[in-house]
Amino acid sequence: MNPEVLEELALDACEQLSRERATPGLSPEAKARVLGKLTSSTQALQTSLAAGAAKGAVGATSKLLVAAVFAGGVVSGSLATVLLRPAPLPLPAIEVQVAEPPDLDAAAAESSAPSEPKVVPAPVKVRPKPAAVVEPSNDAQLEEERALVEMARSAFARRRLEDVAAAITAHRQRFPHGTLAEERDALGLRLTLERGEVARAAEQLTDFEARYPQSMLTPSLRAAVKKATER
Amino acid sequence: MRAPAPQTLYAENADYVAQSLRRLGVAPGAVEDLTHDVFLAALTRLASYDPRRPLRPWLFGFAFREASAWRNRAARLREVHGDVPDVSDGRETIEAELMRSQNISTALQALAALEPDRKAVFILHDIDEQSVPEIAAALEVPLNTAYSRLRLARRDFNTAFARLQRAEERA
Repeated sequence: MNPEVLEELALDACEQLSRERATPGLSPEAKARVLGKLTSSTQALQTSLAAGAAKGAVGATSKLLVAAVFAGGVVSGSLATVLLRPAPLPLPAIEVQVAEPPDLDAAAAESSAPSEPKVVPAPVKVRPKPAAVVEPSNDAQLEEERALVEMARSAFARRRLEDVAAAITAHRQRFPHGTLAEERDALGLRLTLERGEVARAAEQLTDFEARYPQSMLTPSLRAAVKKATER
Repeated sequence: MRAPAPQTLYAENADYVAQSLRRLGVAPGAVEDLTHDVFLAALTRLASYDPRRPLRPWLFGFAFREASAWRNRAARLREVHGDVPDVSDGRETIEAELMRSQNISTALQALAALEPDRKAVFILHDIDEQSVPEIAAALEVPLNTAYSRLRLARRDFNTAFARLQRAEERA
């Protein structure tokens, strides 16, 4: 899409949306209530999954995940893993998929492997996580970049400005020209504004506009700097 | 990188999910219950989360679907009571009227006037500051569709915002 056709937001709207980012979500009491309900819900689901497994006469714990899928049809293996193991809760090593068309290559491979008794007729396939689409080196870099930017964004939401600065600095040192450099620099500018360094933020904005002339983040950054300058 | 433990998932994102539901137009009285529903749905689908991608757009996808279901339920209830909102022709929605009465910002009122699919892209981009490729992945739509929705959302938002500001000035 040509970025030029994207309308800029009104200045007042940008300011209000900026404030919206800092609004609270739930009160501590509400959070505790939701957590309590969530615990009850997952416990009830655990009971249901265990009962379903028993009904299917699948005794081994490792089979419970698949049995749960058979019984419920909508429950993934990960939740069963979550519910059946004590904390810390690990990421499941397998992915369970329901009602997918058969993979012919996999089916051919399975036909020569020792077969196990089928407990249900549903087309269930258990397979390793698919390989990454991009090159491993690029993928690993992007993963690390995302983690740092997300860390900065999350810290910003919690008003932990030192943590924001640390994450931004780490990203800049590790990936000065990284894929997410634009997001990092936008966060850096907002951090400068948050610290009340308006003149420096204006300089950063000039640099940002020169470096990312097509950036869709520019209007909101420009509005934030303008607002701070007028104060 | 690993998926977060469920306790961490909830502790670090409960506020975000509640905020997202509110921005999606869920009534304040329903936000708490729907926050529970969003996390329960997310936990049951944790295997589908790709830890290489940012977590919040993925969570937002659940919030969007739960908010849509809630909106449909609310619409059916209003039909039963003979109070059917028209949200398809760009006119102000009941949510927007409610927000104005509760002194909610003009921006959020304008947000309420957006068509739901466009609103989701707008929130993720212009409030959460996510990139369009991440938004497309989270909402499971083609990249060009996400860009198109963003363009239309910006246009609709600006129109609604200007209209609301004029109304405020007259008041």
